[in-house]
Amino acid sequence: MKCHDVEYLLVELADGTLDAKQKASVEEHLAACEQCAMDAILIRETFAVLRTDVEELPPNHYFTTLLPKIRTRLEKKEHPWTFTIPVWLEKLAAPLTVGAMAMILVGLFRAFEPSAEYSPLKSIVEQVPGDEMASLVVTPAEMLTGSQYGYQANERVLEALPNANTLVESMKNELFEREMPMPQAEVGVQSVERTLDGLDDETVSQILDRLNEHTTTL
Amino acid sequence: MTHDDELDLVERFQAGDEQAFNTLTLRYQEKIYWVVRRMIPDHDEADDVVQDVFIRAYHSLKSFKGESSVYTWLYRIAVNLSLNEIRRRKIRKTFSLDENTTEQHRSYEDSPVEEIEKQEQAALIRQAIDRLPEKQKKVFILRYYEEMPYEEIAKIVRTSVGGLKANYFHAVKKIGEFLKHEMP
Repeated sequence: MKCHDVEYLLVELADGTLDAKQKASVEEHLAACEQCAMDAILIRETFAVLRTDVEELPPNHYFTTLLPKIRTRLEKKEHPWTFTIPVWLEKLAAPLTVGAMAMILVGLFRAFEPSAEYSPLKSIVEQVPGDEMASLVVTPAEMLTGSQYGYQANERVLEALPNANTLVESMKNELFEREMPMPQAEVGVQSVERTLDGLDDETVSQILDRLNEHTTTL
Repeated sequence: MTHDDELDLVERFQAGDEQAFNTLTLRYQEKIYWVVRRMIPDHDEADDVVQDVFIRAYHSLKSFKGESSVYTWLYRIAVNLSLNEIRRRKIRKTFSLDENTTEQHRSYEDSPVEEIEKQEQAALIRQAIDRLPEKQKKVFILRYYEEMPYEEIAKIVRTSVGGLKANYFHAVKKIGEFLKHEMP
């Protein structure tokens, strides 16, 4: 066994979930590899400390008051003022919504066709040094529509502009909550995550701050 | 609660039965609270996020098709909203003159010595988890505290089981290194 194969088994060694054969292989490696043996000790000691952790409980009755709080917020959101929708309008709501959605989709499709001129994020992108970045275009709508163009744009952004943190989170939420598995957008999400993993906190904060200033309309 | 029971509740809610949403909330509120709380140690901040999770769920449940379990779906919303809050918090911290946190202000004056040590150790553990990269943090909390199987975490985090094992190992190692460095 190589170090790379062993290190992921150290956690399972520490919590005793390795089978006998795997355990013997790992222990054989540990006997011959000082680094992995030190890692094994560190993992075991870490779990020992974690097991002593005492978590601060929420206030008494928190869980009996949570649902009423949620309900109150929902009521406020749903009824900001008293207004009764007429029955005839309720009956028309579904077809009207479908029609409106269709019009929006057609509009989006046209709006997000390749165009160097149109870019809600252009102002952000332009602030990022580098000529390549200034030409990049991406919007959550493009990601959600999963169009080939959106996909290509995302890929370029993800390669060069590691700032789509906020957008990606909202996109991921949308994708998940709407249960819309979009292979292209999935690729985009993973690609951004890989890029973001390599950034330090300060850079992410600065990028997010810049995004927050400019993405209120997104 | 089985997957069928959950789906039955979702269908009832979609048909207008508000009580079904209450049942789902009561069923999952504690689990969701702890996922959020382990990512956001401050109770009041965590409470806001927990409420947001269920409010988001309320609005999105209307279009829920049951392709994943409600449980997985709620966890994913909780993890994502917690991460959003953590990012907002980081920005506030970066640009705020007052960087002292509630935890740093916490008074231990009235606690006996052992209690102080426990609280200090607990604070260090929170700090160690807080410093993890986002993905490792998600995986660590779901695996260690929620004791979720890797296959279930994979549905929430959308990463291969192999990748999750790697994330978990590195998370535990980083926590260990931090604690070793910081603990007396």
